[in-house]
Amino acid sequence: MKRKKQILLYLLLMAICVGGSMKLFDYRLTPHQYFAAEEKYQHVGPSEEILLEGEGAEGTYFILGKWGQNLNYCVMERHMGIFWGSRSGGHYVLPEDDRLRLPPLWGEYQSDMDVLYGICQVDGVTQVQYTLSRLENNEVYYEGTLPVREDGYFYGNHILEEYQKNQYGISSMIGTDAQGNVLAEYTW
Amino acid sequence: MAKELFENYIKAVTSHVKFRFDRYDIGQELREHMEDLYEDLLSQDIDEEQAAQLTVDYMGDSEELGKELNEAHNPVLGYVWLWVRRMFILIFIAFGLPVISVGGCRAIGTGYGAVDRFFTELYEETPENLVYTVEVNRQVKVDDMVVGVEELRYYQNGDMELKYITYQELFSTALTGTFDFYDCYLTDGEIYTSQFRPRDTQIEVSGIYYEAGSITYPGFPADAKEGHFIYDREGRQFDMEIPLLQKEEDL
Repeated sequence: MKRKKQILLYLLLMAICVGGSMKLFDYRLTPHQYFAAEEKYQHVGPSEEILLEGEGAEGTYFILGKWGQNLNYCVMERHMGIFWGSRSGGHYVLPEDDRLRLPPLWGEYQSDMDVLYGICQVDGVTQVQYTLSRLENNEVYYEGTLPVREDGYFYGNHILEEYQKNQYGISSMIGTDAQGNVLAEYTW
Repeated sequence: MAKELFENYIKAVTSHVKFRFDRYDIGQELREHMEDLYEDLLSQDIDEEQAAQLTVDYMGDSEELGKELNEAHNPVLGYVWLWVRRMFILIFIAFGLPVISVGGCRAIGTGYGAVDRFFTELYEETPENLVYTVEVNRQVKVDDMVVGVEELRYYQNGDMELKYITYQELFSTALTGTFDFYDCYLTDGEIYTSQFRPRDTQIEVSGIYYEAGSITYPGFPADAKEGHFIYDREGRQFDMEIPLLQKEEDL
């Protein structure tokens, strides 16, 4: 009986240690739990739809969520082998206020996760052609296309299959309709 | 002679105990008990050899006793207990110690700040340029965050100082943090609307779950009848209407 009580006590203390650690250091068991917690902390969302998610380099993971006409991009990484926790600079929110101030065709390439996402606020655009350049010398490195959803969002990952922080960025984008007519253009 | 006899008996008994980690403790207990009995018998003028044999006889059949002890020291429960204890030690080192050290330091810091704020307010002298004070003591919730306005203080130079507290609910599922007051603004409901960033924010208690301080909004109209502390962002909103009528009494 004494042992049974001790087992229960040890289990309770273990739960307190792990729970306390999760609470104090903001660890979560799954990327989705972390994403939801992060949205609550930022007072945004909750995301109605996960547009894109996947693994990046060195055990990192990203989730691109959407609520209303807003975006939330969050990168997290493994902590202590079992938890998901914060990663410095791994967060980007595009709230409605900011979206209204954006150019009609806007995008962001996250070089460390090899993820590209953006929004086109011009009607009729079905496809976006983009160019990725090296940030250090603006040398064109890759050209590609992404389909544009009806709500204007476009996104993709595993584009370069390279994961290097601040290495590449979008240098230009062209939005075209189904017939290939250019409807929107943007150059950095 | 007696010792050898006792050790053989103890070995015979403990060999039936399957949870081997308890054998030492059981052996110790039996040994003490047998030595006491042996001493008793010696004090009754029984010779050593006979006393040792009688002690072993009094203890009973070693097999029977061993089986009884094995039942009392359930091996399954014993191994579960042992592994749970080992796991607890590992988890305590990996998780418990950082929680105690980091959490403890932060709790002490927050506690010190709260006590300091309490006594500072208790012995605070009324500033000469204070025009009026409004006790608000109202709280609103934004997600899992409680935002409270304690007091408004209006100064002769037109500054409206808002004393606030903010803390996360105990079972909040959000990441830890405090409320960003830069997303709020103060208005008199007519002409005045504070700038996006107030002139001065003073954090008096800074903790991970709790924060208290004051924000100063410059140029607030002296004749305003009410103040509205407003938050409206990403579908979350509150409009805390604060009547400023108390100022007339104070004036």
